[in-house]
Amino acid sequence: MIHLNSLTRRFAALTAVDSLTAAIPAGAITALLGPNGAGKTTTLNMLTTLLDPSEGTATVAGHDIRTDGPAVRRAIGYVPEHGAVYEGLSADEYLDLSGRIRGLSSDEIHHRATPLLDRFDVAEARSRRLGTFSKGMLRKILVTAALLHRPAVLFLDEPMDGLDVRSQKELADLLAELAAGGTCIVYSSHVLQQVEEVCSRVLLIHAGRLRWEGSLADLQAAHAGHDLRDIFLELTADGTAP
Amino acid sequence: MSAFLDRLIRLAGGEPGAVRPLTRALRLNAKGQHLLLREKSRRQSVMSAETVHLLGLVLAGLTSVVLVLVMVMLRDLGEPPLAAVVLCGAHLLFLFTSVVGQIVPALLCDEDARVLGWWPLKRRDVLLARLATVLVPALQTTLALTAAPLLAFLFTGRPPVAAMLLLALAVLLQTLVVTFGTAAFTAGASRSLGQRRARRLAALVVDNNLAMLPFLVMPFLQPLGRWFKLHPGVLDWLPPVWFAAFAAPTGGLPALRGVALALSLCVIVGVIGWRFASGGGGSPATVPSQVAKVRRHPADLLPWLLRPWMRGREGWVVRRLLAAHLREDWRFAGNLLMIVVVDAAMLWYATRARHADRDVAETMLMGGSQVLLLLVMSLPYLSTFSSTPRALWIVALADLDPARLLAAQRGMVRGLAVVPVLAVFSVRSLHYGLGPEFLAVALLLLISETEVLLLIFQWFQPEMAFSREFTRDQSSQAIVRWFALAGVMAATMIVNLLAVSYLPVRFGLVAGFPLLFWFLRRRLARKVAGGRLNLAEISC
Repeated sequence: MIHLNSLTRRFAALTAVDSLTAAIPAGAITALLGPNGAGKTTTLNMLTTLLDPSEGTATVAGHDIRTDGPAVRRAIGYVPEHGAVYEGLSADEYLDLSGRIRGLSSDEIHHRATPLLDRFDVAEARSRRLGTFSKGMLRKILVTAALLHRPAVLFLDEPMDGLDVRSQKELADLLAELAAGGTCIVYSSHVLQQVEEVCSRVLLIHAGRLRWEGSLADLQAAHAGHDLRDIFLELTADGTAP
Repeated sequence: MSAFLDRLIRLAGGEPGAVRPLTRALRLNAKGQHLLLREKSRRQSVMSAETVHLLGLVLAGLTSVVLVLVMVMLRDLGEPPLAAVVLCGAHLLFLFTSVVGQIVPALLCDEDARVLGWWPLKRRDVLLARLATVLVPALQTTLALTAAPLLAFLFTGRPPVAAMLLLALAVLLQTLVVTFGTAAFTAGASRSLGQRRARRLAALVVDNNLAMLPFLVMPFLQPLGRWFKLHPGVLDWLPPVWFAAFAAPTGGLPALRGVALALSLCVIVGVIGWRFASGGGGSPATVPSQVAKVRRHPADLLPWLLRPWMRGREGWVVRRLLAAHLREDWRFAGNLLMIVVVDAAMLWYATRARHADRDVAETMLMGGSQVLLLLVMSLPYLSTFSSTPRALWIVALADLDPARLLAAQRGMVRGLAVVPVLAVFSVRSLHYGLGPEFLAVALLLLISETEVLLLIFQWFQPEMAFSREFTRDQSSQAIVRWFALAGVMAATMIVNLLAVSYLPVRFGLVAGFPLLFWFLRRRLARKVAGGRLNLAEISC
């Protein structure tokens, strides 16, 4: 579903992402892991067409990010870590905008949004302005907006940040259902415990380079059953060969 | 109508299915932002953008009455008609000021890219939606300003009807050129500069600072007028003159040249500028610019120079905050620069002792006190604002004395504004040959008055420097405050007038102000003792 082909991004002298080549399949939740400054956000920005690659390319849902940006943006849903919204809009108005831009009618938007808002327990706040929302509530609205058009590929950057325990469980269950339905999900997070619970595959990068690609079970098996934290520390230690 | 609008959007390279809902959302967001601001404001005295626009329309309507008189008075002058040139010039000035405030900060800040950079939109769709939100107010401003003068031109134009119709067309074209041109130039600049530099530029213009620039030209209007009389050919190269050429259908080759230049400008803005700004089908996201390495900054010199007025731990804290804001908070730095520059220009203008029938000393004293009054009203207010007030949590946790913090803030205003203005005042006084006795009394009077006014200001607004967040609609709040402080200003001006006119009053004030200063400072220290100076509002 997603193919990265020597994907590279440089900022002046700094190479944030260095010849990243990998494949992320549909029907699975793939964790994008790495220490601070590893290049996770830069990779996500390139895959969501927010940033042009310096070299190499990638295809998302069959569309090239360099040459077919609009098609990529139609195929994806994205929940950014610091999700800016139009704070003067109510949740309903924001969801309406998000749906209409993607060609949905008012009825479709309402019918698709209501179950998600109910599930996240924010249905009662749908007429409130987003500027009055807490961090967690805003995240729930962003997740709802990202799912309205039923995207083939879903990118999530620290999606559990700010969510209460019940909402975290609801989101984890929802992601599992979407993956079972064939959605390709990329899940970027620093919280390894959540990654172990939610994700089935891992893409681990360090200093812009790929350190591991494969299933979580294989990763743990290859490291004698250590927990993910120890494996992470081992693979991201300076001087470790890729 | 709907199909027509869709066709227009497609003609401009946009997708109606994206542009129309986005335009609606941007309008709803503007209204919602104002309601949010009202909810957060303690005094509920925030003017909405619509109210400010309405006030602008009223001002345009009032100006149009003056323009009608101009159309009648200048009816037989000039080729192209001078009346049409004045109308196009006034229209350009009004429209540019209005459009810049509405669209430039949002485009430079790239607000939309942060919200919908990954949505299936083209940059052109977003730009069109932003333009749609500003085009209607721009047309309303045009109508309010030009309807009556155009009616007057119906009778004074040569030939009457045709000239008026062509001038109306010119005004409409000028509206489109200014609106599209400003949007295209801003969007292009935002793309070329990168996020960081573009946001800094936005911070400089977000509080309508550009609208203050004409005040800087005021002292030079007369020499400029004389220069234009000597070089009339230069006027032919000003765009309002090109558009005014529409009003001279019988004007021959010069008029045709003006019309051709105006139409060329329309084509350049509409086709080349639009393409450059919207960049085809690219994503609304912009490329982030690199962050420069931290090193010594020239702006650090200013807080260092203010040390004599900002002593102790509290003084050190406020100096560090000032240094940080001069470096990074370009909204603060831009406003500060604008206030000091405009007030210095006003001092220069107000203290020109060119009338033989007026006493030079009176002119100096009146001009100096007015400018200082403006500074004392604007600078303490500005210095309470910051783009990053939450960073003050570390100050909120420190054991700092509120009265000393306020004293440091007064020291900052003293060093930034009062001392430079008094230096200019002294130089100017010596230039006019006023004796040291006058200077000593005048300086003592001005310094005492300034200190008392600063204390009165802090009595009503005892707030830590840089502790309030700049809002999105700062300018309208400033308008409210200006209205509120007009009473203080009027009272002080009456006192100044008395001091200028009667020598005993002057000496009485010089003697009385220190006592008042001591009393007010004592009262203020008691009032804020144990308080938090607005820091309680800062969440850690």
